[in-house]
Amino acid sequence: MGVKRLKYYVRIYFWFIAQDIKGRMQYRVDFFISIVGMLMTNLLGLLSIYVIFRSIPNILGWSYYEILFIYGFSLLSLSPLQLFFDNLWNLPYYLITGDFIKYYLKPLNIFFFYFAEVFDIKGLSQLITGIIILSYSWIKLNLEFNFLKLLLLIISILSGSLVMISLMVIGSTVAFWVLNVTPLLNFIFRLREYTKYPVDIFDPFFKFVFSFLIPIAFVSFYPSQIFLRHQSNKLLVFISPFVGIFLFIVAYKFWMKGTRRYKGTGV
Amino acid sequence: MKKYIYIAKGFLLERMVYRFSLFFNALEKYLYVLLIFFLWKAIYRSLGQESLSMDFKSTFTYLSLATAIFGLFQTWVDWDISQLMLSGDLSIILTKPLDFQVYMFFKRVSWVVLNLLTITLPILIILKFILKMPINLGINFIFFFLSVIISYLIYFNIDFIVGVTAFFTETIWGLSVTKDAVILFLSGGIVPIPLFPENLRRILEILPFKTIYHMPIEVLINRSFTIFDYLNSLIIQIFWLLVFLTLSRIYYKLTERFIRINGG
Repeated sequence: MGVKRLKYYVRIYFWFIAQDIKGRMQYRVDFFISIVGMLMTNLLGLLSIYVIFRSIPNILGWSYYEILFIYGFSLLSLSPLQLFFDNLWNLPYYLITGDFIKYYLKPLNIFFFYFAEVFDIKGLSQLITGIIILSYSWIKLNLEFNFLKLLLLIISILSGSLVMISLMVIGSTVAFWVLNVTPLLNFIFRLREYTKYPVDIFDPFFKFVFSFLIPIAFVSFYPSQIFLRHQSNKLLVFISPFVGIFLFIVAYKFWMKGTRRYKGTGV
Repeated sequence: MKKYIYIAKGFLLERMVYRFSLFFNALEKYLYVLLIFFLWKAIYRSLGQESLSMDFKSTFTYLSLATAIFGLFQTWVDWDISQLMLSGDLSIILTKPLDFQVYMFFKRVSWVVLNLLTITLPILIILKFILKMPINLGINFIFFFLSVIISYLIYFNIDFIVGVTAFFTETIWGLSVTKDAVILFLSGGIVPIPLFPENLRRILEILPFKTIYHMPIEVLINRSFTIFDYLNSLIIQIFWLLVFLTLSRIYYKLTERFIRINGG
């Protein structure tokens, strides 16, 4: 892909976002309530951790602020899914009604076109909550902060986010074969709860499952160890950025394979 | 009454078509029970010298039951109402000689039955007979059954209130998500109410949300409950049911005039 083509895609992307936001502004009340709802859900999660730590000093050696760090990290790495890939929830609907056919008719990459169309602005409230929680625990843990760390943080959050994005994209691709995948998506989406705690709490069997079979430990636990305890699990921590990229390539290929299968509804 | 039974039967058959959906919906709850198990096991292992007012078995049973009851109540009445509003199908229902709220109840009560069979009963059976958790099967079970029915009715009324809010906000994603998160938290679904710090617990004891998950669970697992306590919690639940029922009837009357049907 040339630079010119890339520029074209970036320009189109911002145009799409602008259109989507304009459309959403029709439902201003819901937009407002959604932001509040997202904030409430995340704050209640935080409050639960606070309540638990009122009675115990640590969970298997993980202190309150370390758990908060992982929680904030997980909110951040789940945000790109919410912001940029929210359209995957609509895939079953588009396939069933036949509207999906329109994505084949433009000279754009179909994967890009489909996901660029929706920008879920309420994900921003999660992003901001995540930044606040992460900074707070960062300060409380007396972690070192410099430009290199910031760069490393951004890279590790992005690669963590690719893990959950890939799992959800793979889940949505199943729709090309069985149409109604909303329950499957709900199921995968629910796995995000598991990214908020150290994977150490599980027994070896489930630790293996969540590290290698359904690799959600790479969403926040392993990458956050770069900053918290980089001496433990060295190999898994080191490979964490590549897990996200690898999974995303797999998910992308699978999704594209799905699109070649769709025949429309005949309208 | 007969017409509502037919509605319930019809939607039961419709729901059973979506076995894929039923399967994943149940699997999600079982997996969540697993998370509760490991998380709280880790918490209890980290206690050291201190102790909590509940032991691991009670906490695990309490939270698993909360998940089982949450799964039972999940019928998406609020989503359904907002969809009816957006698609315009609402006009068809409103022109029929039916009470809209009663119609919605019978439409979705069939889902409760399927949730019971796929989520609540399996979790109860696993807790009691496989994991041998401290659940008594005596008179408390009868009161538990009654208590769950009342708490569903309370939950349904809250769901309905959220749903008809769509009459003026059109979509309700935010409100619906907030509702579930707030009720779960304030009703002991994330951290059992007895484990809250004293001052927070006092607030939760006053709020009506404890009637939804906390009270039925207490009725089932609290061994120190006497017949007086059972009756007492039923009365509190019935009181809040009447409050929410009245609120939802009034609220529906108020929102009715916002109904706009697109096309038709």
